[in-house]
Amino acid sequence: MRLKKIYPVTIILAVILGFGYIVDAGELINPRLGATYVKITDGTKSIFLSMSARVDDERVNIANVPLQIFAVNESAKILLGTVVTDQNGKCVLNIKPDKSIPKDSEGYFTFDVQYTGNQKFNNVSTTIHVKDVFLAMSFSDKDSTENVIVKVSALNETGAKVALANVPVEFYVQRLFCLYRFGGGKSDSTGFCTAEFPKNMPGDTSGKVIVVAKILENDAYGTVETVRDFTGGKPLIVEQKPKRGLGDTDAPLWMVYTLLVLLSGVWLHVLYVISLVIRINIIGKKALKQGIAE
Amino acid sequence: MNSPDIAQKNLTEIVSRYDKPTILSRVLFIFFFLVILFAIYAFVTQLIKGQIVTGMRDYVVWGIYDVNFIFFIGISYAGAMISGILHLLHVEWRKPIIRIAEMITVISVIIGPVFILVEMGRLDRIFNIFTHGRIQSPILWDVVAIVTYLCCSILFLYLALIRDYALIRDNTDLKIVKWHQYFYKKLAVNYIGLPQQKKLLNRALTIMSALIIPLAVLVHSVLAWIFGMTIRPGWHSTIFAPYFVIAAVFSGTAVLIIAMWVFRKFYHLEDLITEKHFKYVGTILLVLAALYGYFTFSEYLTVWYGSQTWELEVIYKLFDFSDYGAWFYLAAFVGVLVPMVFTGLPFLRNINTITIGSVVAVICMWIKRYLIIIPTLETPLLPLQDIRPEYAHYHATWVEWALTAGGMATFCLFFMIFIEFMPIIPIADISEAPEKKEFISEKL
Repeated sequence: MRLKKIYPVTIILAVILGFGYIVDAGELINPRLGATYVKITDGTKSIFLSMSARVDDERVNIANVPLQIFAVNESAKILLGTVVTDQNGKCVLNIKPDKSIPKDSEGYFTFDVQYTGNQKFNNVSTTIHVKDVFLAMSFSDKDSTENVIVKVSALNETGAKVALANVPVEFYVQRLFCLYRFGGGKSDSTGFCTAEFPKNMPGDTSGKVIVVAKILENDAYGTVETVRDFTGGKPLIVEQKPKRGLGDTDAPLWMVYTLLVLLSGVWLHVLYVISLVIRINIIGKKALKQGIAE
Repeated sequence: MNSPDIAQKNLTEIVSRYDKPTILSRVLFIFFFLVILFAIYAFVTQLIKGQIVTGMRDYVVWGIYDVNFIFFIGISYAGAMISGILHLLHVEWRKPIIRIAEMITVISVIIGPVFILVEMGRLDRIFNIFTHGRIQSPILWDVVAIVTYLCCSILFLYLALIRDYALIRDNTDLKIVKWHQYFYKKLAVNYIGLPQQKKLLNRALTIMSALIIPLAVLVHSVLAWIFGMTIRPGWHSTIFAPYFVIAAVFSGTAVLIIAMWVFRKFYHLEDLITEKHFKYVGTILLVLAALYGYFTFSEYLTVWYGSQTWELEVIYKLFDFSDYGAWFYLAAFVGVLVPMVFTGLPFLRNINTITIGSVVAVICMWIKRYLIIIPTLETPLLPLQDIRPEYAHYHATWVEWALTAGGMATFCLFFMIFIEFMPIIPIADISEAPEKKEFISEKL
C-alpha cells in the first residue's frame, strides 16, 4: 500500500525537477565579448577584452571567466594565452614585441578570442583583424615653428617597411590627468603626417613635454601609439618659496627664536627657583648642625 | 605664645578636624574608585576594539574627550588666577583658599591631557610628537606649554607647602605614620624659619606666582589657537584666544567656589573659609561672567552679521531648537545670567546661592565646550553625501561617558588623596596673618 502511494509522488517530483533542469538549461544567457587591439611605442601589443551580458534588462559585467586568445592564419592557430576577467568584467593580454605572431598573406594579424561558456552563459567568440603598423616620431624646427612629424609604415611581403598613405593620426601632449590634443591629420603618400607644436605649451622646468601620436581605434590598424619626449615646451618657472615657512619642513626662524626665548625664559626661572630651594636646604642643614633655629 | 607655637597649635587643631575618615568619606572613596575601575574597563574595551567603540568618525574626529580636555585645562586657571594674582598683590583674605586653588590647578592639569591620550588612536606613537614635531604646529605648542605649566604648577604648590611641611615635621601632637614623617622631613628641606630661608622662599614664591600667570594665559591661548588657526566655521576667529582665556578663568573660579563649599562643609572649615571669601571670589566670578557674556555676544554677533554661508550653517545649527538650540541658549544665557544674578544681587548673595551659581556656570561651560567642537566638525565644507547617519552626527557612546565620569571621579579622588599628604589650609600663612592669628589663638 505504501509503495503504491510513494511511487506516483516520486515520479511527479522527478518530472518537476527534470523539467526545472531543462528550463534552466534553456535559459542560458548570451554574453557580449568586446575586444580592442592596442600597440604601443616599444612594440608591445595588447588585447583589451570585456565581458558583459544583459540580465533583467540591465547590463552587468561578467567576472572571473576565462578567455582564450588565438593568433590565426591560413595554416596555423596558436594559443597566445588565457586571461580571466576581473570584477569589472575586463582583462588584458599583453604580447611582448619579440613574440612571433603568424600573419596572413596580406600581412594582417587575426586574433580569435573565445569563451567556451558555462552553466549560466553561452559560448561566444570574436575576431580582431588588424595590420601591424609602425609609427616613427620626429621633430623639426622650421622658421621658428616646431613641428611634430610622424611616419606611418607597414611591412610588405618581403619584410621591408613601406609607407602607408591616408592613415588618420592624432597628436597629443601628456598633461597631469589626461592627454591634450593639439593636432591631427592623415598621412600623405610618403607616409608622413605633420602637426605644428603649439607655442607656449608648458613643459617641466627644462621645457620637456611628452608628445603622443596615435592612430585611434582604426578598423584596419586598431590603436597604435608612439610616445617621445620633446624639449620644445615652455620651461616651467617654479616659484622659489622660502625654505622656512608654515608649510615647509623647517619653521620660520622668528618662530624658532620665539619658542626658544619663551621656553628658556620659563625654564631658567624654574631652575633658579629650584636652586633657591636647594639653598634653603643648605642653610637649614648648616644651621641645624650649628644648633641654630628660630 | 610665639608665632611658631601658634602655628603648631593651629596645625593640630585644623588637621584634627578632617584627620579621621568619616563614613561618608569612605563611601565616597569607594564610589570614586569604582567609577574609575569602570572607566578603566571602558578604556581597555576601546584599546581592544579600537576607536570604533566611540562616537567619533571621519568628520567628528574630536568628541567629548576633547571637551573634557579643554574643561580640565580651563579649571586649572583657578590656581593660576587666585593664588598667582592674589599672592602678587599681597591680598590677605586669599590665604585660607589658596591651597585649594593650587590643588585644583595641579590635579586638573594632570587629568586634562590624559583625555587627549585616550582620544589618540595610536598611543604607541605618542613620542612622535617629540621626535617628529613641527614647531609650526599649535599641537606641539600645546604639548610644550602644558608640560611646562604642569611642572610650574607642581613647583608652585610645593613651594607654598614647604613651611607647612616643616610645621608637620616638627609637630609632636599629630599621630603621623613613620613613612609619612620621612616624607615630610625630606620635603621640608630643612626649613626652620631662618630669616634668610624666609627671604629665599618668598623670592621663589613671588617668581613662581609671576611666572604662572602668563604661562596659564599662554596655555589656554595655545589651546584656542589649535581651533582658531584651523579654517573652520566657528573656530577661525581672532578673539578665540582671549575668549578661551576668559572662559577658562570663569570656569576655574566657579570650580574653586564649589571646592570651597565642599571643603568648608565636609571638613568643618566654617571659621576659616567664611562668607567673606565666598563673596570676594563671587565678585570675581561676577566680573568674569560679565566679560565672558560680552565675548560670547561679540563672537556670535560678528559671525552672524558677516553672513558667510559656511559660518551661518553652524550658527543656525546653534540657534535652531531642533538642533543644538536648547543647549546653546542654556550655555550662552543661563550659564552667564544665573551666576551673575546670584553673585550680583546683594539680597540673593550668600554662600549657598553663590555655590549654586557656580555649579550652573561649570555645567554650562562644559556644554559650551561641546558646542564649540561638535557642531563645527559636523559642518564640513564639502556637502555630506551618501554617508551613514552616525558619520554625520556625533553621539557620545557609553565608553566616552564612562571615561568622562572616570575623569571627574579621578579629580575628586585625587583631592581626597592629596589632603592625606598636605594641609588643605596653609597653616603657616594663616598663622602669620594678624587677625587670623588672634582668632585661632582665641579658639585654642
